[in-house]
Amino acid sequence: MTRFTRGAGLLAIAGAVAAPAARAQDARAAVAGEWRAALDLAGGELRFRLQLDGAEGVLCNAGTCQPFSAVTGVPGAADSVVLDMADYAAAIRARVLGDSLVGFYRNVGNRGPRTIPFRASRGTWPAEPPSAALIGTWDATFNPLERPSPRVIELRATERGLEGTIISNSGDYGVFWGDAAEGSFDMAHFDGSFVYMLTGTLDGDTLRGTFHAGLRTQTPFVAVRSTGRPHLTPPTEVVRADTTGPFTFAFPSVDGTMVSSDDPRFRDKVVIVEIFGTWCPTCHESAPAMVALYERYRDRGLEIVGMAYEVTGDSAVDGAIVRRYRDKFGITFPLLLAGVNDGTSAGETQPQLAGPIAFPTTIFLDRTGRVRKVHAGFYGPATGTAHEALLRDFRETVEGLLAEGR
Amino acid sequence: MRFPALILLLPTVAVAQAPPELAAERADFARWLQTAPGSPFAAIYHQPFADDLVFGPGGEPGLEGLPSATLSQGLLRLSLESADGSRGVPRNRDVSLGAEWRLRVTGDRGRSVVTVFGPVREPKIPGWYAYDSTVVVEGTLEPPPKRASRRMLGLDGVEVEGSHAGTWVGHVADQDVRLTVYRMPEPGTAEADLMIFFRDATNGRGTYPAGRFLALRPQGGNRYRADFNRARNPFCAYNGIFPCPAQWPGNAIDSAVEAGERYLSP
Repeated sequence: MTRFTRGAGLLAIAGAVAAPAARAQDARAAVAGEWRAALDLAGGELRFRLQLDGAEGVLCNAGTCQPFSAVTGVPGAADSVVLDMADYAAAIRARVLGDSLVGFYRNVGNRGPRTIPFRASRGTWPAEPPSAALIGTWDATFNPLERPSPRVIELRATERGLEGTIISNSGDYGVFWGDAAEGSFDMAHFDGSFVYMLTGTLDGDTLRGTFHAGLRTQTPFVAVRSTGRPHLTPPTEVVRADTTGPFTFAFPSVDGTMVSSDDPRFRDKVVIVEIFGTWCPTCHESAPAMVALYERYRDRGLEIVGMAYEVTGDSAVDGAIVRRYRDKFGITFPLLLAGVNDGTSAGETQPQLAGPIAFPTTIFLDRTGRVRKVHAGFYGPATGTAHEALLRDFRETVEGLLAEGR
Repeated sequence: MRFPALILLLPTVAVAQAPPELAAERADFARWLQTAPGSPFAAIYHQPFADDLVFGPGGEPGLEGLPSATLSQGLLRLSLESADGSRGVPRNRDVSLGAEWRLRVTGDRGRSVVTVFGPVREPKIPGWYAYDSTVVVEGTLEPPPKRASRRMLGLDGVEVEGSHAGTWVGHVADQDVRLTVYRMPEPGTAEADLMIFFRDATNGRGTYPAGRFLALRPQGGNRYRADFNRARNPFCAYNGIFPCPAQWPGNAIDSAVEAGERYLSP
């Protein structure tokens, strides 16, 4: 079944029940439950799941769910509900039409607001076993005719259906979810901020398709089966670091105290500096890895410090968001408010780094405070073996630096 | 009888006929223009950035009234020095300059633009022609003869590397038209619209003299929909601080496309 077929079905349902809206004091009671939701992009239907319960709710993409910052009614519109995503300065606003929700997803860019039609009906999307023909690793070239750039596409079969990701020089695009049948596939990633979809069809030995971003952007790609030879430039070669002196920093923590590289807690320690943002999906995937490293090596002399680049630049607003992030992952190392985020790999956000900085970027300092290694980006669990290899590399790096002595 | 004639000359801001989706989009855009901290109406400064920019007394003309600070392009990064210390400045995102002032650095290194925002000043409700279903046109995109890209101004006055995506061929306002299309990235995102910057017979007679932008919507294959009801002004139409893009050669429609955003002159 294609996405368009599914979409037509859902629209028919919405149209058939468009008469009496749920008339409650507050639409939140009427929307409680599980929803199969979709954004209508120019290139097809991007599917995700919603679970709503009063003032709370989560948005789910593949096996990963994240909470809305608030679920509210709308004063003067008893049939409307707003699903707020404060971390991303975005929201879904929808009307209850019988047993459907119809509305818009909205975020704000530098050129004005961007809206994408949204709809949902009750229930869950079926998990269909994906066709085996496309499963595996593909070396892709995006935009081959106008401006070629390399990517790797991973497609995997799971109990939830097709899952996978796209990997660029600086990291992956998070977990995608969808299905694959008869030589074609579609899968999507929507976390409240990034609106991505990948569709493709097998043409002989070549995979041809389109990467969709936002409402209208469509970037063509071609891909061939990976031969195992490197197709991407390793992230560690993308970022250069100044290693002539100790890496220094001084920023306020989310608790309001100043934290500096001169503080006693970092003296003679191996230190990991993690540059992140709560708005960055890949950072949500690297956070558990940082927590695990800290638990494993803290007693042997590892310290970690997270530097958050947030959305507003207002310490009260950003501090609250980062504290929520800290609590979500059970982070016990300090998190600092380092600035306003870039959102891309193009930021020049640290004094002793050069090159495009990805979110997250992980910087390893030896016991003298000098940069010994920089890893831009993070291979999340969606990348499978690349994820495992990266975690192993992080552990070996930390153990090597700890073993250097003082 | 002068009174009825005057009524005919008033700008039409009819949005009632527009489909609900377009009406909501227009209302959202109007609200953003009038209230958003990053609205073009809030911009007080928009200039190419070289190495240093000084805010506050004795600083850059136009920025003397801001809190004292210096924006610098160092060897490795952009930084902002102020009484609160030094901090890194990311690109494409707004940074607070204290009080009501915000700073945004856009574009690549060596070709950066600094925009400074204050309170939204004298915002105008944008005007639109009445919705016209006949200018929602599906056409084809002919690929370019060879790969080409060039630096060009986006609708926000920021220079980007646009890649030539081809020629859109369709029938608009009783005329067969061929319009050049560039894929123009939106800095800080993975998005890149297929854009047309066009002129038509309404320019200076209801619409902005420099022309208007239109983003194509893919319809599958090489089919692309141009909805001229969604033609929008470059930021220079709202605020003279923003530079206007140069006309794209050949992108002139002889007839009047009375659809999309109008120009309500100051």
